Amino acid sequence: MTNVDGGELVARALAQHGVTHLFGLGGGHINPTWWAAPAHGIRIVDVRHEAAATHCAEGWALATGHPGVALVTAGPGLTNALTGIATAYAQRSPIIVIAGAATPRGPDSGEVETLDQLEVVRPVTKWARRVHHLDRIPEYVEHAWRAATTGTPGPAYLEIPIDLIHSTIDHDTVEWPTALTRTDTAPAPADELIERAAALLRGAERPAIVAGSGVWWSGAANELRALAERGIPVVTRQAARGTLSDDHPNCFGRDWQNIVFQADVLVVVGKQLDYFFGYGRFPHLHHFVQVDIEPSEIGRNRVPVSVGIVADARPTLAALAAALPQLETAAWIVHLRQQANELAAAKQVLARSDATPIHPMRLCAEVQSRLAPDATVVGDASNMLMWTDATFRALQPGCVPSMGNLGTIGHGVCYALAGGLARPESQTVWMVGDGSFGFNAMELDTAARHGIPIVTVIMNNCGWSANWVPLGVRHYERMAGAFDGQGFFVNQPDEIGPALDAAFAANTPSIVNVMVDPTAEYFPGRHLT
Amino acid sequence: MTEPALDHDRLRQLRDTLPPALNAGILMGDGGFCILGWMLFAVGFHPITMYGNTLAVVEPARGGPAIDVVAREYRMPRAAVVELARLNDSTPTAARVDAIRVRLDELLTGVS
Repeated sequence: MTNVDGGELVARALAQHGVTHLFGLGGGHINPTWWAAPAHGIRIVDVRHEAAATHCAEGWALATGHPGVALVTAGPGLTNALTGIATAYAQRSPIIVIAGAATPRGPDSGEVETLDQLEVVRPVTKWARRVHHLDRIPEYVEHAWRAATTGTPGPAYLEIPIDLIHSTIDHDTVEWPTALTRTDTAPAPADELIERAAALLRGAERPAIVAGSGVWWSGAANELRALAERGIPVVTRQAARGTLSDDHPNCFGRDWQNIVFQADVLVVVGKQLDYFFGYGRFPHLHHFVQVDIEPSEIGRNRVPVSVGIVADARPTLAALAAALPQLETAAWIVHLRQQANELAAAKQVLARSDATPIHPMRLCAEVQSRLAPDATVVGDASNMLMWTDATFRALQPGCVPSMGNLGTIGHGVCYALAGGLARPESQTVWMVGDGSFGFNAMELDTAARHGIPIVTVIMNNCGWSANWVPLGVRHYERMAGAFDGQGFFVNQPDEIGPALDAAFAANTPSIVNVMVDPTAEYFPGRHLT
Repeated sequence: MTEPALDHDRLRQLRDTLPPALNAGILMGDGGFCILGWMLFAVGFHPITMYGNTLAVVEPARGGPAIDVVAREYRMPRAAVVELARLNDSTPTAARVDAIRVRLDELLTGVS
């Protein structure tokens, strides 16, 4: 007989799923899991705020394609974690959140950290449960994993009361889920629908594909490339960035508007029809083909869909590629490439700017020129994204994470941290505005303690762009000293390069605080006709 | 097919309420609005429907390519909207608002 506690069961169950990193912040309600995890090969990444734990879990998923796992304590630990959960929910990223909870005697008694946590998390999770019996912990971890990863991915939440997690059970009496109880198959498309979609593409003059996160979660990079090479231009969005390299001749990066508004037949794969995609309402299209694993996504926002395929992206893209001949679309692709080249030329003008204050595009170009293809580069959020999105190239999947459509800001350091942990030999960059920097800057301490030399580049326009509330000139680079890192203050264009070179050479987190022009204008590159 | 009659009232109001500065190339973002973004804002589109976009208004009921939406809202010929946007983007910052105002004057007085 071997007695084990609840934490041991959680750790073993996670290890069986190949979990190697657990993002969390300690607390008495979760200590048994915290203590048990390292013996199962799970590295605890102890962050400085629970929001960072769940943001890091999502960052891990975005970097690796596998679910990230967060461990947070009860009460405020859980409420702090909510923004990360909600961000993953809005972006449909698979994360598993394991939380402590008060005892069943807690409600209405004044017990510390008592909160109806299930009611709090339900609106922002796919699945939320409380474990009531110790021997069912492995079963519930299995359920959580399945909920997070099957169908439309998303957050799964599991809470274990403090009295239960600290109690023990004879391990031999625990019935563990086996491989036979898991689902490993992905829904395949109906042959008839594939043929209808293929017929529309065969008849198209200007076909196009918009690949969304579903392509990444499905592991469909090869299948996407095969379909693109039938002669269809591709735009990659959200977590799909890099699933087809921006270097591929048929890939046109992330700028969907120019292609979509010229296309006649559009195939949208695993991409929400959301605000960032014009709600999918493109009345000029002759045909709209939509592929999504979630039935309710088909035709969302009353979008008229010619063919709606409810299936996993990978078998669907493979079937479409197999059903198509080489399409005669060379002129269409040449036209788009010509426009893309014009746009690139317009950007280059700004990227070479020697103006002071520094033009943001100059800064982004200086960073991009120093990046290897496998670098994790995170453009944080809000207005500064217009510059980073226009610059950073996704050459491999999982390297340029999407910041999500909830509107969260300041969480990019967590995605950078997770990316650095996933690819410890690669460069890691967090580009952030001076406003957003304040949200989670303390996670640079986490990066320092865990040996991730994040290069933080602050695009500092001395205020909040959204409403022009000034923050003033602040020497945030001095904070690097607190983490034994290096800090650089830059206010001239020719200082950018040396500062970045020194930051990349440092083996500690570094902060490059760059004064940029708050009135800088975008590039004149839109195609109006 | 005849062109729609220009909405003079809307265009006149626009001309008389131009902002002190316009950006180049983005409907709404850093640097405020470009002329298309301002035209959309002036007829009731929320800035968030244009935020960060160069080409499109993301609004389910009235959204779409910015050129088409502006043309519809102001009953302007599409080509005139394109020309106005190009004037916006190609004019130096300091001279942009004045140049746009002159062009709006011309449109209102029927100068093509």
